[in-house]
Amino acid sequence: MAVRLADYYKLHIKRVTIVASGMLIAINATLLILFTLLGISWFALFVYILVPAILMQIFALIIILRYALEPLEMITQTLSYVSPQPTVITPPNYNQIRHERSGLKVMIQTIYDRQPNQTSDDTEGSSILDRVPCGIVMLDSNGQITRYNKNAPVVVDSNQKPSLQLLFSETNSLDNWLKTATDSKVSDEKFWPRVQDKIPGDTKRKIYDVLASYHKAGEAGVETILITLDQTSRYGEDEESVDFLSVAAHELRGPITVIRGYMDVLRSELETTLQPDQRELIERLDVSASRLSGYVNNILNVAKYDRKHLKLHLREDKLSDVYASIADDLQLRARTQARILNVTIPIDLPTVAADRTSLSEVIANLVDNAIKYSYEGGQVNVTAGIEGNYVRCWIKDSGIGIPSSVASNLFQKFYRSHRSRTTVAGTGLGLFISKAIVESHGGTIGASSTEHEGSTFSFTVPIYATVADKLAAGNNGNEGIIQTSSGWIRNHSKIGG
Amino acid sequence: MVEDDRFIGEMYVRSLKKQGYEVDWTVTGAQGFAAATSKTYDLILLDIMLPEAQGTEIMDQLRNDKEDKIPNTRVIILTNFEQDDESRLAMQQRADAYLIKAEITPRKLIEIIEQLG
Repeated sequence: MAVRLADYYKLHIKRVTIVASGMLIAINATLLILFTLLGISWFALFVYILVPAILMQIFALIIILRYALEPLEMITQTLSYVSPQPTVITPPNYNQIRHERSGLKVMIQTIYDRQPNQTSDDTEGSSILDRVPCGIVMLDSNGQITRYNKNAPVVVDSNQKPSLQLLFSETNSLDNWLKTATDSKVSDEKFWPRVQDKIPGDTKRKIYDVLASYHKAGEAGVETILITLDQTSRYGEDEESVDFLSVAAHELRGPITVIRGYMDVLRSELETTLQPDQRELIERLDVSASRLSGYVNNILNVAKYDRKHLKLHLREDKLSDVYASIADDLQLRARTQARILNVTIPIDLPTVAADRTSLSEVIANLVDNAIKYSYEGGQVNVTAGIEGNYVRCWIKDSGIGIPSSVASNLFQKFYRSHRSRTTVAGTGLGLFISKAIVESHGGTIGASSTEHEGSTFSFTVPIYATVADKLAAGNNGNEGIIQTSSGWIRNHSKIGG
Repeated sequence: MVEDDRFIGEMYVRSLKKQGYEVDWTVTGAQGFAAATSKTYDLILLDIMLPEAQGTEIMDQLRNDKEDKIPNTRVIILTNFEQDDESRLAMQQRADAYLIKAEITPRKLIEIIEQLG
């Protein structure tokens, strides 16, 4: 059975005590026999010889043992302290003169000098790092790789120089973050999800989640540690699920096209023969079909957004023209649900940078909400104006309003308040995707509301002239104009009006 | 018009003819390509999901960086397929309009055609 270092000395003392006691007993028994053979009386023997002799021997033994075993005690304490076994033993004090003279100090120092974790050979450390199921990369103060493990996405060039094989986006790269951290922080952490190591289409592509930790003047020259977790199987499945969604959307859209199209044809051809109430029925069919189409779009856009693929092609456009493309549809929706839709978007507003299809989806989502959550006969007002470098559009209703407790959850995916879940139809995706689209335009979206009095949703879109050069540089993609420091949810909520 | 769905094809043909347009309707990409190159049309309505050949391939054959076989013809992509953004943007560069069928009605389509001139 293995003996713990910390227990060695106790056991050793026990052994020594047993041996010494045995020796004592043997010596004294011999003396007893001897004196008996020599004819000395028992009493004299016991009182004058045996008892004092025993007492002296015990005394001497204690002194000798203490002296003899002290070095052993200190050495076992030292070894226990430096070993990997957990212990509460404190290291012995070996700085006394007698230990220096006897050489015990040097012996104990030798033990300290021979600690295993001070050897320069670190193959044990490397093999442990290689067993870690994620990639680990260590960078020095110059951002150069000093160490990495087997699972790290690192490639080595012909000069044996290692470099990180990860594709960060230009606006949110590791280098940008590291530069900011090095220049202005003592420590920092950052997380990037879904970072690829190769471009899409490469069959060996992997997708990682990356966590970085920076600490200025870190130990052993390591300032930055990166941890990469291979999530290819998980995110790869997401990509497959989006392909499924694309196919499903296409299938759903077929019948929707036929329903909307033929209703439109019937309405125009039967215009003169339809009774007003029949016309109303067809209009309701139309509204529902267009809503269905909107839901399919929302689902598709959310799937694209989740994959960070919501790229827009921004063009110079007028907000009034964007609205005009859906004006008839929205008026129809309002009319069939007995709401009054008032729209005043000045046509002389500056042009904006917009993706007409997506932006009109945002307006349709917000107007739809305003209709849904207002009372019968209620008004929905759509207005727009200039605000700094943006055009802001307001959609106001005087309906049931939003309690301040739910206001901060409004733009979350699938969020539906418990009240409306049972009484109002909807997917909970409309506001989520509207926020995603508006932010992808470089704008912001927000809501303000007074319960029982109504709500006002508004969003901003950049004025074209202010972003034209950035768009031209980015080939009209929206990446250059997305605000990186925009508030997550801009939300004003008045309590009690 | 290149459209393989019978209901949808008949719907557009009916509305366009009523508006006074002359319509040739083909149901496959190959037939569409043959028709487009045999006669000069004012407008081609091109679906993407077609049997045998995708509308994207037909578009590429008709109009690419090297040559334009139909310089005097406008092209409207009319599809329900949700392409990835890169493909869609590439198509939008070459066509005059890119429309999702489920989002427009025949009357709306005619409005857009008339806007294109």
